[in-house]
Amino acid sequence: MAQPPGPLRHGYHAELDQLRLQVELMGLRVEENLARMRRVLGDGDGATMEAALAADDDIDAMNCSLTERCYDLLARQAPVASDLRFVVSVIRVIAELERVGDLALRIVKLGPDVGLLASAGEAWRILLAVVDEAIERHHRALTAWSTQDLALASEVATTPCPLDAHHPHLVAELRRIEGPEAVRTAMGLLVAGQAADRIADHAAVIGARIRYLVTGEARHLAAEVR
Amino acid sequence: MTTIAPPGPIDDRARGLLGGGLALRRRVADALVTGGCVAALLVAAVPLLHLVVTVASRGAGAITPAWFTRSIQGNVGQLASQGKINDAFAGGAGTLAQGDIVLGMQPAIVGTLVITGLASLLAIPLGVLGAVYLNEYGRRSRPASALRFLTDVMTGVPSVVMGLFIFSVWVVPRGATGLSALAGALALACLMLPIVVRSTEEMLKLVPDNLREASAALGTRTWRTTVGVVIPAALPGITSGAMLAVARAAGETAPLLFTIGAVTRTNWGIDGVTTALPMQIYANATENTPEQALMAWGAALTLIVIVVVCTVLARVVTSRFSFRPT
Amino acid sequence: MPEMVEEVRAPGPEARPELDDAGASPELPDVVFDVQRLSVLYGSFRAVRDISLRVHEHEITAFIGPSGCGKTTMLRCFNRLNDLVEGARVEGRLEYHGVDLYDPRVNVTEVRRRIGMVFQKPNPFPKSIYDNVAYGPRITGLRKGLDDVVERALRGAALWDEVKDRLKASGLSLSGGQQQRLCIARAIATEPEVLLMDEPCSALDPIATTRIEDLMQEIKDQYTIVIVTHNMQQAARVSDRTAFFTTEVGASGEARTGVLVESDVTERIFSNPSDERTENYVTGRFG
Repeated sequence: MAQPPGPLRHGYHAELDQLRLQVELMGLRVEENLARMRRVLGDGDGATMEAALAADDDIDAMNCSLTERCYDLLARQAPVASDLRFVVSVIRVIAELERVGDLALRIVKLGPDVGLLASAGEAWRILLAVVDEAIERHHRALTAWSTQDLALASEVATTPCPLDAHHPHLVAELRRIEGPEAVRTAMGLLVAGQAADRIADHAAVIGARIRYLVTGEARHLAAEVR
Repeated sequence: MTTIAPPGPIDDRARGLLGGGLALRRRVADALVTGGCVAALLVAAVPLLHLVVTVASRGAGAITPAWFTRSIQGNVGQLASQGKINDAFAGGAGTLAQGDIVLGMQPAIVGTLVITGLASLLAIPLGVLGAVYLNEYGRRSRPASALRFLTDVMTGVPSVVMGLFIFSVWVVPRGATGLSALAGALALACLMLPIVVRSTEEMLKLVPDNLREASAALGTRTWRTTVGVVIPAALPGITSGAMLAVARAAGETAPLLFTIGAVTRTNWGIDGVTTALPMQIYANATENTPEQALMAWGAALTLIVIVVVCTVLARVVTSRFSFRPT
Repeated sequence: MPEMVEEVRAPGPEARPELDDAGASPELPDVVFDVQRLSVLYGSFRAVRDISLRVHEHEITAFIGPSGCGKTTMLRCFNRLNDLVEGARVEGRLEYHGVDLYDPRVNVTEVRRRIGMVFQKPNPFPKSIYDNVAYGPRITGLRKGLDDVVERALRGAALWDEVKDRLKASGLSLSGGQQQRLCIARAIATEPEVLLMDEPCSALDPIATTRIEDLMQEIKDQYTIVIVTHNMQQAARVSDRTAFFTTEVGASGEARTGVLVESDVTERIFSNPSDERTENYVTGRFG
């Protein structure tokens, strides 16, 4: 007596789908905070700063609860094959997103100094370029996650970090800053630049994880070693 | 793509598998035992076959349409009235020409059917209910064990003793009206009862307990479980056991000796004297005339046919009504 | 896509209500069975000792533990099926919606109509599929509308589509998984409140097992289910609450008696159990 074919384990697959959506949601929250960060760099608005700080608490809470949900899935459902790669990747990806959130906050906290930093001229423009590139890369990583697009993920994972290209130029410009606040300005710009660079780095890690998730090849795990 | 490679060299570890076969001593022993079993089968089968062939050949001459419709009265003396005297022991019925004598056995056939039918009606329901008590209710309790013991003893009681029992308890107090088909049926029922009880109990035991548990778990009382699940599941076995008891009872002579009397007219009712096939065999087997010899063989053949029909029916019922997984 | 995702609220770490020591909490669903210091004895042999736990409505409660620890004995107390064993008796209290099940005034057949059972080895009656499912309702006196009852029960057991054209075929002609679903249909035909399942999947292949696990999740909101299982992973997948039993050697070194070690929500049993014995059992260190 052949059993008619049909989907099994509805509840479990629904949980996996839920988890995927939750990760997307978390990514969107982070993206919103990145947008707030960009706005703060534009006008130094205090209200936006407060909103960003509050949103980061939500992001941290989501990281906790989603991690616990992943552990629960591992303990109760014993996933295998692509399901296992998925759950393990989720744990890694949400940790990366949480770090991105914290890095965005570090830039946001420079808000009061935006006027000062913006007077640095060329260095300031370089910084904004680096920040914009990081935000763009983060956005592409999230798109790759929701569409499971291997090509896009590979591109995100292998593009070199923005600061590599801009670093010599930025250093040169920082040297040229003069005035009583020169050191403070330079340090502020450098901190922001490094934070933005690491945001792009985390996006690349997410891209590498998506490559592992889709292909199952262990070498993509090694790509995360920095 | 992948073709089958030609056979390669044989590994030492597999060497013993090929060729050789059994050693000579084992082959001889195998042949001896097989031969012994076949011989034993022949020893058992040949007399049975001989019996059947003899009865069939000697009794066939008596089976005519009249066998089932005429009474016994006109049987004796036919040859004498026709002027043909023949020695029953010398040539037997085989030397008679076809149609020389026409025999009737209706009273005995009817008698056997009535008595056996009545006995079954008495013994089978009672026996099944008794077995239900033993297996479903009593189980290992003291009264049940005592009942089981008594039943076992009754299976061993000689059939003539059953007849004597009914004679003294039923026939004698009634005097003239004591001898009857009913009395015979009672005697046969006493004989059948322990057989039905024990075989039904065995069949009920074979019904797995998990069916009873499943029924109990649905909120069913024991009698309902028995009627709804256990008996239907055991029904083929119960039926075949009952049929075998009927077949056995149909052939019993001794209990009928004291209980039904002897007549040569057909008695369709259960009161009053009647006759039966075993009685006719008993009465006619030792007589001299060819008519009586033929009567005896014919009655024997009829009885065997009845028994065979019962057994075959039992097998048909068993195979047809048991639910087999397809 | 973003709109749909926005609606979903991520649960915070405080989402799970705090439980007190007895495992009860005001937000938990109603209690169906309240077992209070229950012991089961067969003659002089104490099979389980001092069991106290609660079974809640519309939840799947799993009993796990090594062989011979009394899980099945405990399960069979809930529908008084232990009565069928000679010499079985019970000490302590087992309440079903407040009524002591072992009160002499209790009508046992009525208990068994409300608390159905599915056994380890599928045991359909040697009757047709229709008659198997209709058996229970017929016992309760139902004569009309049997067709509807049978169809509803077979749909409820996710078997209707596979057998609707051959209801008169023998129940024994189905495969193992289908037979077990037939037994489930037979049990739910009388619309019980509770379904007791004694290792229902142990005789089945993995696909049939998964189908029955899916079925349990589907019918959970109509029935309360208690399942005994040897397979820990099944308990982890399927149950809301898990009770872990084990055996202890008696005081004077006599035969092993079953005891309840821990009863808690399943997530906790499998991620952070309170008792070391539970941890050893679920991690597979000790049997």
